Amino acid sequence: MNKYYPFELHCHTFHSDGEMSPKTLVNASKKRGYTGIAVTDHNTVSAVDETVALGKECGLKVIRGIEWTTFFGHITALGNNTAVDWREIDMQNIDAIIEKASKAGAVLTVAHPKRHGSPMCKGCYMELPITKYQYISGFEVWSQKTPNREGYNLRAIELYDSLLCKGNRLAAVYGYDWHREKADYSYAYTFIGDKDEPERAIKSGDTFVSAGLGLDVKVDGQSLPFGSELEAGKHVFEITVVNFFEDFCSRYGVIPKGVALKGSSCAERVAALGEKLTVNCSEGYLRIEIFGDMEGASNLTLALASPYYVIDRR
Amino acid sequence: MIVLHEHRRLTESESCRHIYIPFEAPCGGNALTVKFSFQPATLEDRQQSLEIIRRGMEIYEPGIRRNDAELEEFLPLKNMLTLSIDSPDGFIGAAHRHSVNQLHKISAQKSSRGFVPCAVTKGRWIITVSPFHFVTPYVDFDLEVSIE
Repeated sequence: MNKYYPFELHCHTFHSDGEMSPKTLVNASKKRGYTGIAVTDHNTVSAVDETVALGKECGLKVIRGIEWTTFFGHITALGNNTAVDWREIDMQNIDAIIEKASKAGAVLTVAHPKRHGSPMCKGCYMELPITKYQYISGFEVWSQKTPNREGYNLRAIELYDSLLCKGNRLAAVYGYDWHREKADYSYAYTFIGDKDEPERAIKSGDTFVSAGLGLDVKVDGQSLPFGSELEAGKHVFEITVVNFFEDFCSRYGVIPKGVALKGSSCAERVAALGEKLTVNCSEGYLRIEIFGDMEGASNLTLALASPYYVIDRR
Repeated sequence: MIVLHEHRRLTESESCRHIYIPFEAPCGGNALTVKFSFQPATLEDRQQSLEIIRRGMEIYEPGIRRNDAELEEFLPLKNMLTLSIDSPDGFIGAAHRHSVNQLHKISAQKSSRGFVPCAVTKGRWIITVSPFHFVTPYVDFDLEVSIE
């Protein structure tokens, strides 16, 4: 079984419009059980050094980040993100900007692409006409407090699927967009397949978003990291969920009911958890969703994994 | 010593554009102080606000009708101007927040939230005011920079 680690990839401090000091953020993150976080203040990295140092003291992985908060869309840039000045970004040059940033080592994620935008949330709706998605690694399919119930996230997932259909490779990530310690709560996480180099895992697509459930996926009897390539042809999928956090399912009333396989590689399939599914995969992508009940609501997406990419070499 | 004092009225056509305001620091110093304020903070007219939100929603969630109570969750509509600072050596950070009265101090030892510590050196500095979509017909800002 591949091991996955819970992260929060979109956090703000009082260095921008958040209310938390770096210390409060680190302590609150430990309390919530995160293995790591990304500090992504709006257009500044002034909180990063302090947060990284505080994280080291208590065993919390802190990813250096920034949220480029432009008039026409937001992008988080993790890792080496100094090659771009947020004020350079505009509707005309966005492809050149993401190419430059990515080549300099930044791991880029489209943030909350379908959230309500200006003037309610400044620049929150993605209008930047990105076409070179090969320079984008992650895509916030989920955002905010109750991500699997929000219409804007359903629209984000539609956009995600349309981008995957075009052959783009994008990791599914959740970004809480965490600003306040207590008023903001969330039951969702981005699970990442590498706790030491999470940026690398995001780049390779080894992630899933989840309402606290862990995932165990076997393809032809083997654990296969998300984002991996599969040969076209028949494959057997076996998908089970695990209760990642003790008492989490009872606290939030999470009841997983089944699994859905989606994507351009095969017709949509629905199965019971643990059932062996034989799927004839053609070239394209294939991704896994867990559905079920939560906090009294039924038929919600409880987990959504980054795709496998099916290659036909025949 | 005051090295810059700027007062401007920005109209809707100037929103979503960066306004670069360079100034010369004639000498180095222990600290650079930036006082920045703008007004109005919010759109006070409730009906007008709801109409703006309704128009926005038609773009962001087409086909979904929301009643006034749902639209009110987005009130009050606020103006937002981000202030960035460049030292002679480049970008040192930004204050992206709704506060209408801001005071920022830059020095080699410690800077205000949003800015990295930076020695106050002689040369060309730049303040950038970046107004996001206005919710009022105009926004006035006042900017004063001093070196001590």
